[in-house]
Amino acid sequence: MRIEFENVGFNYVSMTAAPFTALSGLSFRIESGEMVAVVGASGSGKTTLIQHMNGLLRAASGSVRIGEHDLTDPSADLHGLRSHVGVVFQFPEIQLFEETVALDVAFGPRNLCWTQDKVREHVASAMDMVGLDVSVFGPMNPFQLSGGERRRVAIAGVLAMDPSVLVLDEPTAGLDWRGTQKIETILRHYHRIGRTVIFVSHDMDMVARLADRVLVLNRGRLIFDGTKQALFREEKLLEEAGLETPYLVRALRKIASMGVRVPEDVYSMEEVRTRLKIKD
Amino acid sequence: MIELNHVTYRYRDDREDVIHDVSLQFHRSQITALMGANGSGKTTLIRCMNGLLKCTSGDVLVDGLSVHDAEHLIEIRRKVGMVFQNPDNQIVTTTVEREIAFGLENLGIEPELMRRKVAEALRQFHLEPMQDTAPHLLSGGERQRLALAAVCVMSPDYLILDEPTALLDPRGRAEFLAYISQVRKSGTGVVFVTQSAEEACGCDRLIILDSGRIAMDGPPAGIFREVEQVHRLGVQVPVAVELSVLFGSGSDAD
Repeated sequence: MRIEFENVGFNYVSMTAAPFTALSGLSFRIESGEMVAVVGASGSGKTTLIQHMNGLLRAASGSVRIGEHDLTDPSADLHGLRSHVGVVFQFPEIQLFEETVALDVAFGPRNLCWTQDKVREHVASAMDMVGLDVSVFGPMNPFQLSGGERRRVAIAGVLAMDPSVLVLDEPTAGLDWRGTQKIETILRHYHRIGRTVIFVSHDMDMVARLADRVLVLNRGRLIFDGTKQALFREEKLLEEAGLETPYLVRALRKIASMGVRVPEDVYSMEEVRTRLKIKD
Repeated sequence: MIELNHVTYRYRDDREDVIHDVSLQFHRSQITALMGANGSGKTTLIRCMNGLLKCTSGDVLVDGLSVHDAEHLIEIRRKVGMVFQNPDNQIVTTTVEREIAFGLENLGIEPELMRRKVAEALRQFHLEPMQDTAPHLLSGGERQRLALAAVCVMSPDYLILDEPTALLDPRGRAEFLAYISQVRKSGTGVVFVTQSAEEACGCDRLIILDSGRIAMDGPPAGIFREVEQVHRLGVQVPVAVELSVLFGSGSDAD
């Protein structure tokens, strides 16, 4: 399912303050099966951008097309769209409300009017994808779970609708190291089975580990759209956008500057390990 | 000094302690990072430190004042500023400027001084352009800066922060670290929860919690040398440390 933004602009209007331009002149295209990170300083428009991907916000100017859904059309079928584009918001676990984990994960698919069997099957497979055994966790109350587990339940609730496009806003904020690794595994898996994954993150090392392509926003404008390899060479641009080169990339450069031969273009500790072994 | 003496905390209806017999001392002019896996008790522990949660047994003394003594609570809360993990849990007013003024107004500070302090905080936390904006229209990172500004403007003696950088962008994080090292110089004691080993590296002290107990406590450089033990506790070590292990140099990271 192709995502096409063309010259998109959006303003927040409130009773108490001057209108605020959150996005302007935004154009890009994301093809099926891509893994894309959206980065930028706080307030650069990342959250606003992804809220346009399932029609939660509608562009004030320009056009947004998601597959065959033209969101410029006021009568666009949002219900249909949202079964294809699953959005996981910041701190999604605060939206868990059902009495049991299984009921909560089933909430989305039930609203798609699937048969009970199909719902049950998708709930089990979504729970499996996030690494929570449905027979153990399904009957539990969400409040009995740890923060990391609750986050994964919230993600499972979106995965259970089997969206072609998975969009996540800061999916690892507030999670510990292992929790973060588990979320990364989920995203990698979902990408590997051919789906589009788009995520917002401030963690540049996570961006380096996961994304193929990065969109950089600065004050509502798209100032970079390309591979991570290209992005991490643009130190000035990163600085301008209030971002940083990943710790790993910086550390490797420092080691290289001391005359030690280090593998180039590696973006995860795993890759460093593999490459070092090859060298032996 | 904030002194925890044999602090134990158990949530009502729970069968196990979330915090188990913890004794610690936190001094002014000291920055402490608190790490640990999700569920290790970090948030509970810091909520005990200003009496927001009353420890089930043991005692917490803030500059000698016990949190069990109801008449001291107002003074304790004035001394200890706290910022929660999710900024939406503490933002109460309708504009950024009012949010920052809220605490000062309640202290009955004279208007001229208040205006000066609010203006200073708006500048310091880069919130000037949005001073008339409604907080819910701010981005996550901006709301987090606002929550921090609204607490810091009260100039507490101790700042206790629950993952203050979770929603901040890299520049915001760097500014936060610069800010706490500045208030430390003026005598503030800072305790903050973080998931970032890199952030912990810049602190005077690092405490790692494990199932409600103190697993490690000391200067970060020493703690991160114990890579295996730290990993076992579900905590990340700095990238530079991990690399130095891989390269077999075993040298210190900076």
